[in-house]
Amino acid sequence: MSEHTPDTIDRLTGGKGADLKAARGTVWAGLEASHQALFGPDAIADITPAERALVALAVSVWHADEPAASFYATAALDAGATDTDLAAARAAARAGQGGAERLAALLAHAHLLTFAPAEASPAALQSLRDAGISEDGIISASQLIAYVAHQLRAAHVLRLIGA
Amino acid sequence: MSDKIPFTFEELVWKSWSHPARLEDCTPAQIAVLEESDPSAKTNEYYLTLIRDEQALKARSQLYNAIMYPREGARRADREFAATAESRVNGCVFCASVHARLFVTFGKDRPSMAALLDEGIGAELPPKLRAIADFAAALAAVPPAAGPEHVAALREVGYSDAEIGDIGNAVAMFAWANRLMLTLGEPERKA
Repeated sequence: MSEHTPDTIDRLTGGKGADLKAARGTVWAGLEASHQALFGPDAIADITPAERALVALAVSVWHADEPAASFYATAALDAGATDTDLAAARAAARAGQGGAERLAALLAHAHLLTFAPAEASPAALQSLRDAGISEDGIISASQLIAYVAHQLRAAHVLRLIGA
Repeated sequence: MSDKIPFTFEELVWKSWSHPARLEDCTPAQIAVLEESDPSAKTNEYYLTLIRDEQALKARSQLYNAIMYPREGARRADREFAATAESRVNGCVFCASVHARLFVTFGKDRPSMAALLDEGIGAELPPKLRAIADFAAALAAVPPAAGPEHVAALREVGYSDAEIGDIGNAVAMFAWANRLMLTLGEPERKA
């Protein structure tokens, strides 16, 4: 990718911190590669594209990151999420619950990882299995939720220093 | 489950709550990703758990290596301190133990790290580490609360904006790492 092609983080920051990014090309290439691995067309199928975007939407809302929430809401609709799914993700972001069984389990897990990861237990993984999510899906969803925690902080720093 | 281990410099082992891959079942491509991820990865349950999503681990390792092991920018000790401070805030005893030891190796200031581990972010620290700890704790919060005052404090003790960005990326990396380490398994004392 050329340095001048906007990447995903630029879409969250409006391109702020361009000098910082240009000086650390390998870092931002690694972040974009992570985004593509978790949200791109070759992301593992055990978690659907719509589920990925809806979970990221909820995590963005919890982080009070409106540009990111808007980005992931659009991604969810593009991936075929319904208005009901979108409402469920936003409701989950308010109440920590909602949606159909798989989505509800993923959103509850995202809430745990976002706010209280140190309170996790094997039972939390079991509730994902009970909702029909495969072991590979559990790992991929965990990576996705944790990645968004990183992405939103990286965006926060670019907006802060690049302001 | 084992009793909760306090924050420590002690070398711990991480046990998965999922089902780590067996090395003999891994494809050559998965083994290559493990080798890029960490020298210990082929015998480490953390990486053998994450290899289930090979692409995500490959990209994450590329990012991790770019943030934590570059030749340029903020000192390694500062990145390790930031990583440990984030881990202390999030309650990740395992990550904190690894990066506390690395901070002592590169930063040669065991008393400051011991204070961070024992007392948390409020511990008495020398000015540079104080500024890093406050920035890391604010950036760790949900929603992130790092503001112009944290950047000003870091500039005041001599950090360039590029170095502040490096420290911020180390904090962000451990917002990610802590959440995996804390929710896919737990540390145990070495036998």
